[in-house]
Amino acid sequence: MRIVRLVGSAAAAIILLGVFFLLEDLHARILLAIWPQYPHALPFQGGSMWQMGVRMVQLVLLSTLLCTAVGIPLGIVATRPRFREEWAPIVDSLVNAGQTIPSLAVVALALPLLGFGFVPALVAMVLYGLLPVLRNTAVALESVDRAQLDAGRGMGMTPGQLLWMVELPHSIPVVLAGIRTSAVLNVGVATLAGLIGAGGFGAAIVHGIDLRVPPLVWYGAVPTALLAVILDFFLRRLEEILTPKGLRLQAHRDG
Amino acid sequence: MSDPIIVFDGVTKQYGEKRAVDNLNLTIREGETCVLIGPSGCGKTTSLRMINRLVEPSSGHILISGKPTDGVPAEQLRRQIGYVIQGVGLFEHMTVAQNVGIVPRLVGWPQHRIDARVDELLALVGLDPAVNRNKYPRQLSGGEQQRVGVARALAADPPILLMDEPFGALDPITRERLQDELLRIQRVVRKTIVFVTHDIQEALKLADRIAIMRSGRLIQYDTPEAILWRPADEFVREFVGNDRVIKALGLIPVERVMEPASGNGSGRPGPAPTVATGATPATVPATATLRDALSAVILNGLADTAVVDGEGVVVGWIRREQLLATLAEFPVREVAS
Repeated sequence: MRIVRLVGSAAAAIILLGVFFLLEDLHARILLAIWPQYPHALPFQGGSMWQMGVRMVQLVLLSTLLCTAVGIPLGIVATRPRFREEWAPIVDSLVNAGQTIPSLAVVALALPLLGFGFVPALVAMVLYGLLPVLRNTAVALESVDRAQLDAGRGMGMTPGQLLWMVELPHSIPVVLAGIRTSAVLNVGVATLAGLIGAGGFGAAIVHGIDLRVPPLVWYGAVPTALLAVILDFFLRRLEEILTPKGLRLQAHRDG
Repeated sequence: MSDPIIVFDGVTKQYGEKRAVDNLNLTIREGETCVLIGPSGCGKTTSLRMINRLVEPSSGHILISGKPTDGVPAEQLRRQIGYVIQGVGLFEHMTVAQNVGIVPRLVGWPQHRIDARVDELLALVGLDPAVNRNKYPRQLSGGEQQRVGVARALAADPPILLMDEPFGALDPITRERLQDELLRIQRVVRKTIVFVTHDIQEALKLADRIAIMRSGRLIQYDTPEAILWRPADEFVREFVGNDRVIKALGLIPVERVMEPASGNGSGRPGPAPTVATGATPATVPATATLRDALSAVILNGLADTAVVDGEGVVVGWIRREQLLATLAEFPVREVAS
């Protein structure tokens, strides 16, 4: 049942995106109609909408997957009693630093260290998108009801069982919200990745800004915005579907 | 007298400078309900949590059935001890059945045995299994949640049940009902219960023995009657309250002063309305205590008062002379002994 709803939402999101790519020609015509003074701006020479889109989705999916794969375990480790005292301040300062440095700066900083291209862009995106996942995982685990932890421990759960059976299920909604934040952020950073030659819709935007050609900027910006909205929609659905039923219910009121 | 099952042997718990529990020696007997009570910070909860090693003693030992608790891994020990807490701590993402089945699952029972046990326990705590099995904790009232909490603690049939202010957060009516339920359940399951509360009324009602603590020390360990009639010191006397004799009367069944109704005297009562107000005279249920009886007698202007059964049929009478004579005996018999 859950799987069906999950596959359904994913399919809806992919179809929506696919339709847009197929309407590439229409998109270009509309933009040219709005800015008739730039008749030769489109089609974009740097790649078709489809090529840019595939690269964009690659960047966002890969970086979000990596953020999740690294952020959740780090969040778990940072909240274990053994490490909490030493790690919590480090995680805190990392989160604060990450939120302070603008994404443009992260991309710019990656350039001298890693050069141009796909991999450096990916590294910059993971560095930037890691923080929401890590922070939300840590916050979610810290906010599990004390009484439930006490009960679990008192019934003889090992720390591992407590994590799997109690802490993680309770953290699902907040962790997923962190992944969603990270994914949507990554769409934005992926656009900036166009600056260091990673391709994607950013290529059209950067090019458009260089040449001062608005339709070219829009040619990249519209699908970027659409991608962010669709991704956000899909991940919100995912949160609803994956949140355990018992946590979605309203609390009972006595009297 | 039954065998000792839990023994505190010179147990101390030190938190920095403060001694939360100070050289506690306490023997709890099998099948008894032992209530730990005292003002906040007296060490009662710390003592309870040392039994299942949620808190480790700084020195001394706790023996369960003669074996030191630190002889087995803490998790294994805890699976053999039921645990109920004030916040209930039901897992909100699990159904009622899953919650109750936790410990059996941890110790590896087959699923069909867990299912049968869950239904049996829900029925025991007064929840219809068919209705409640698949509900989630948030769909239950506070009282229902605590019933599930008790069922969960009993799941793997542990010989010992630890209860840390389990009814503290409930409204007075629900609390009283659950206390009655606990007494009923205890008559069926006969567990050794260690119960922490700060409510002396609750302690008097539930305990076979009460351990009164203050600043980490055990002040008096005795039956409720003994604590009320013979408080060990000024602190206990103050703690149980100035009305301690009235409270003690609440532990004595009304039969102690009742004159059974003679053959043709039973049937519909019709005690003469001797009360000045002319209102229907107060009666006392046969299950009541001397405290309730006294209340009814006073309402009736110290006139003879009828004791009635569940149907309202008179089963006996409380006569003024008999009552006064019994009350006059107490200081001689109970206080002095």
